[in-house]
Amino acid sequence: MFYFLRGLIFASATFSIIMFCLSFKITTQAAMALAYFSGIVAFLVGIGAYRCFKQWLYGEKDAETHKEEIGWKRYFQFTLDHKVIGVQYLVTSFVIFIIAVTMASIMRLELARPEMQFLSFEQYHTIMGMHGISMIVVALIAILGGLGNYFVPIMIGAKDMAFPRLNALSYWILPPAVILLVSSLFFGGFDFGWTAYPPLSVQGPLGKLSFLLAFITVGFSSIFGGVNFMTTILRLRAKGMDFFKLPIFVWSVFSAGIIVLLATSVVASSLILVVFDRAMGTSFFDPSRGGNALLYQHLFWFYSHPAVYIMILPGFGIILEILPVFSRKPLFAYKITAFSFIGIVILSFVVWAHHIFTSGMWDLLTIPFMITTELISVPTGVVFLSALGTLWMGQIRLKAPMLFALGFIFNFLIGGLTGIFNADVPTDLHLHDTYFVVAHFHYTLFGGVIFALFAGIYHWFPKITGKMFNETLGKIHFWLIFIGFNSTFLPMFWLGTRGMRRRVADYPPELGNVQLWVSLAAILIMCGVITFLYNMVQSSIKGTTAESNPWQAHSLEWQIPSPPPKENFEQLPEIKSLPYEYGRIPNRIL
Amino acid sequence: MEEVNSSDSWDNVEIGKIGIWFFILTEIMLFGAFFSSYVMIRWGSSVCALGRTAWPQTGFKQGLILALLNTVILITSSFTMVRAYAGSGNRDESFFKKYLLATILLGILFLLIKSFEYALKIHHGYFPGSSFLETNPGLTIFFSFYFMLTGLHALHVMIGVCWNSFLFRSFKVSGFSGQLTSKLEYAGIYWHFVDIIWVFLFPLFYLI
Repeated sequence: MFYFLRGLIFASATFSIIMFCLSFKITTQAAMALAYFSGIVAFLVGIGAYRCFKQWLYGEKDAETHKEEIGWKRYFQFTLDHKVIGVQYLVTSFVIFIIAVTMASIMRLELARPEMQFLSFEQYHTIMGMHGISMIVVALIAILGGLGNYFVPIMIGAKDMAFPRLNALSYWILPPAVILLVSSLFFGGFDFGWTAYPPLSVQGPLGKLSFLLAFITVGFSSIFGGVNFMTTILRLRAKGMDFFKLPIFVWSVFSAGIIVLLATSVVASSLILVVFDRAMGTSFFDPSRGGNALLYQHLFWFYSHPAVYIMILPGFGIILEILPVFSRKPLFAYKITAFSFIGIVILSFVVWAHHIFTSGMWDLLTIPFMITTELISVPTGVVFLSALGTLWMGQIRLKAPMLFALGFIFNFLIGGLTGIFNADVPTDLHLHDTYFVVAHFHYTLFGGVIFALFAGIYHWFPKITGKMFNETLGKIHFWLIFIGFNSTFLPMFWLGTRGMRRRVADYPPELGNVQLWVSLAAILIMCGVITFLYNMVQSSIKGTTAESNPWQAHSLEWQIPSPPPKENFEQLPEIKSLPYEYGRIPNRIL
Repeated sequence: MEEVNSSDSWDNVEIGKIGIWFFILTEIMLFGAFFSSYVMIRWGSSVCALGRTAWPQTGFKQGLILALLNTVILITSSFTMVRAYAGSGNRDESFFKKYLLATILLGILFLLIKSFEYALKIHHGYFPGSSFLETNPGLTIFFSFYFMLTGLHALHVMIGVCWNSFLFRSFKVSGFSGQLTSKLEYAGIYWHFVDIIWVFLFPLFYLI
């Protein structure tokens, strides 16, 4: 706790001093950018990162000089253990998740009736953008950073990640970013949603700059994580663990890592250009001074479309990890599924322009992008086939993780099928920027990624905490969220086809009744989230002690005590077979 | 240690080396995004200056000479970096120290010349937002890209200089122990990459 507070004090002091000194010399925008990045460095020094890196650089021994506190205090310190970092990621993402849920509730209150209730347009837009970017960050970091960090090294039989310091660094630059993002509310907010299209993002209050800087920081964190995951999976596998013996979750993290490495710096480039336009007076996105506003959208979506696969691929991984365990059958078509992950990765890089069919792009290019977008449903279909083939004639146990996995399959099917209408140029011209799109991406990201996150957390909760969660509360949580989610977002498809625009706070009165229904149904989601949080906190404190392998699963993480000891394995294991050898294969299925 | 997964060729590569190459990959994508944006705008738009004839002549020649000088300096520094690496491989202390120091100094020299060139450009009013360029959108966007890309490259040179200086200090503190050779190799890969970026930047902004 001491290190964390010291970091915060260092950071805020540096930020204020530089901001104060420089704002007389240069523009406030440029001063803020410099002050923020210096603030991050100061935060890292305060938290103890500098010492840790110094030791590495000068070749001193870690154990002698780097002091790690014990117990819960480790979680507020520059700790190198990948399990601690995983939990840090998970808890942080739930803090951001709570912010996002609060923002969503305010939006639904405002949207419950036509006309404006209690917000101004600017406030509504800021709250909407805040909800958007918070959920994007949660979807990016919770599964990959949280569960990935915790379980990938254990699943491949390693003692830690390849670069423990880089791993801690990639987590610890997130808290300053989150603080800056939240504080942007006090710098005038940002009214461009989460996409920050210029020219809107180039003009206006300082809050927009905080958004951009925070986003760039998350990108950095993501890149560090990606480098780490790729190297870990390539290099630290246990003896005998060749690529086609990897658990499917590791495959999914590996595929997501490829996208992180290839795409994330491109979004950073687009945001850096906006920061330059704001702070340095350049003209990248100003057509009257030689720039091109559409350039931003191409750079932005070159990352941001593959980014949805960074979010969903680990989600697929979790689901395919859970289904064999709870239906007592081997994973169906393991190799083909692994290849289809790679197929998704390749295709995800050639579909980005389907976001800008209506932005004034060259018309001739729309058809190729439509075709590539629809092609991506082929490898995604293979993932579904694998999921359903695993369930087929299995002995299904409907525990909480399994319920969420099944809910994922249901929701993601709807999300995937409605994507076709957005990818088709003729229908997209009508549906673009309507609630149809809102419903579609909530079906894939909330119904998909967040359901997978819940499934993964229930599945691995006994391993992480060593305690058992309350199964009844878990089931209540599932049914609240599942029913609430579907009754909230299914009507939005209808709203979209009736012409309800997204990103607006006011709408025609004849849509009022359906909007009221949506707002009421969202209460169920709220109750579900509260049930979940209560269950997690209560069970991790007072839950009954869990056995090391409560689900009788075969993958490596269940073969060690819960919670895992510091270096995971007493002896590094040797792998002989796939982790999905559950009993017999039913007749004539394969 | 013998026959650990000998079928797997990845196991013969150092962990840090894989990491630094992945990092270089993301850097390539970053600079690639900027380069392609620049190329798209320069050749895709009607206003941006096409070819050298459209460029201002005052102060341009000096800039070209300075940039040429910088190209020579950076390429030489890549050479000295390799020599330093060879020196650390042979455990030759004075050789290593000489060449690593030369690399650091050449990097600093690059930055000094670069800042002199910036000052020259700003003195002539060639920067986005100046009253001189306000009437010329083509040059405004050209110098937007010029300052952003060379500035980003200069930031990379700065990081490289710091990295090499840390290694130099590390050598002073603990000599060749603590895998200095591997760390120097990672710094070298990064330094060559920064060099190569400049090799792309130089023709794009000064020659074509």
